[in-house]
Amino acid sequence: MTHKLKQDFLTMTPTTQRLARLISVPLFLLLLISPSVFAHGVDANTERFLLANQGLAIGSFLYIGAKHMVTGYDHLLFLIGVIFFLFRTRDVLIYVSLFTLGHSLTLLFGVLNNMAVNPFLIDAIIGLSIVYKGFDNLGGFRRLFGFQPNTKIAVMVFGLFHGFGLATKLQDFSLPQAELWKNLLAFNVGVELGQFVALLFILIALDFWRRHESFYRFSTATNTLLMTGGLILFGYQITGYLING
Amino acid sequence: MTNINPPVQSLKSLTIASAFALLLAVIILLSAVLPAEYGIDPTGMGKMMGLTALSAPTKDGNKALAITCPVLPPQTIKQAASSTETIQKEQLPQWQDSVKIIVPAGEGLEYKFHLVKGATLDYSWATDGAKLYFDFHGEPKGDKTGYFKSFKESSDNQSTGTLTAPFEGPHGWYWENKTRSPVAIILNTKGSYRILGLL
Repeated sequence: MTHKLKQDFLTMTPTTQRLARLISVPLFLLLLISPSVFAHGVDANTERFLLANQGLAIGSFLYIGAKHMVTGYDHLLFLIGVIFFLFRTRDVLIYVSLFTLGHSLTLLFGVLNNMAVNPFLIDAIIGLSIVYKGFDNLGGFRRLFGFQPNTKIAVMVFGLFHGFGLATKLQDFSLPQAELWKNLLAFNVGVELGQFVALLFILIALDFWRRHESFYRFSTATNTLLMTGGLILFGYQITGYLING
Repeated sequence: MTNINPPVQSLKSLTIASAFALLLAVIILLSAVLPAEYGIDPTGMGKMMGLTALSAPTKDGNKALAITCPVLPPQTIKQAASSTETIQKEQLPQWQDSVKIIVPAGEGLEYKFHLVKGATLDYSWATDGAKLYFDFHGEPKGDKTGYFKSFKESSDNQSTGTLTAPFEGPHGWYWENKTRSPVAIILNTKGSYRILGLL
């Protein structure tokens, strides 16, 4: 079966790869340049901006959203898990759209309704979402329970939790109420841009790896490590909850 | 081919994978993450590797702080400097306000004054030694674009001068402490302003 899959995959690879390369090279260059452009402390500047900002600032919120996603290893690990066994571009698009829909809903809803969710608990659940996906990729649910939980619904539901995580992070900066929804929308679009950029890199790396026998040999090990990563995040956040929550 | 199902592992390899993931996660949590993040160090490994130091300074003594200091009233200065009155007056402007600001290690903060257009602000500040990156700037009142005008941007441990506000709005400093320990600033000011304080 794997052989057939690989064949199918390899026939469509060149187009995907060329496309991905075309888009990602300029983006990658941009990423290389940006640290020197924003050299004096992006973090401090971001915080300074958020604390001093009184109104509409679309560009800045776009950037903060994108940066949060590109540097958010919890979201990225989950995405790696989700697309690990998605060989077709169409499937990647469907699953990523569901994830996007899920986290956008709760991000907008959470911030607009001022919902205070404990950040430690939300991040712990996000950690568990990674464990779930690693276990799912090992075929764990089918082996243990004899059935496959609907992966599309699962991605969407965990997307909802990831969105609450994003909402909590954004609320930490006591946003001004003036023009709130515009700034929020900009942040959300930034998140999707960041996710798009990050996905390109993940897809290129996976594409490349799938051409090699080692992808199939190490897929079990990779998903085991994914579970490890999720468990570490879970333990880290739960401890934080017990101490500070 | 609409859906690709990942290979289903045997129960044995599934158990091994799950147990291994849990074991590795617990080891990494106990030996590295918890010591470094929270200072919880059940194995002693964190202390050995110097990880507990990471969690230590974040608790106390690293909070942004502004303490208003008493300013010597002009009369006191006059009396104390009876003989060298003129010289003293030149050296020590009669400050209206004096504030001690603590900039936490590795962080930045802003301290601002509201000035109307044309109002002057005499200032002089100095740190307890370390140089700070600073940006002395003003933002027009009611501006929503995030625009600000920078008057002075540098890295130094002191700065003195006079500002005449080019527009009405908050004016003040952004200080950034790039060192590993908190830095205290004493800021003396005089002029027609309203203190907005720490932002």
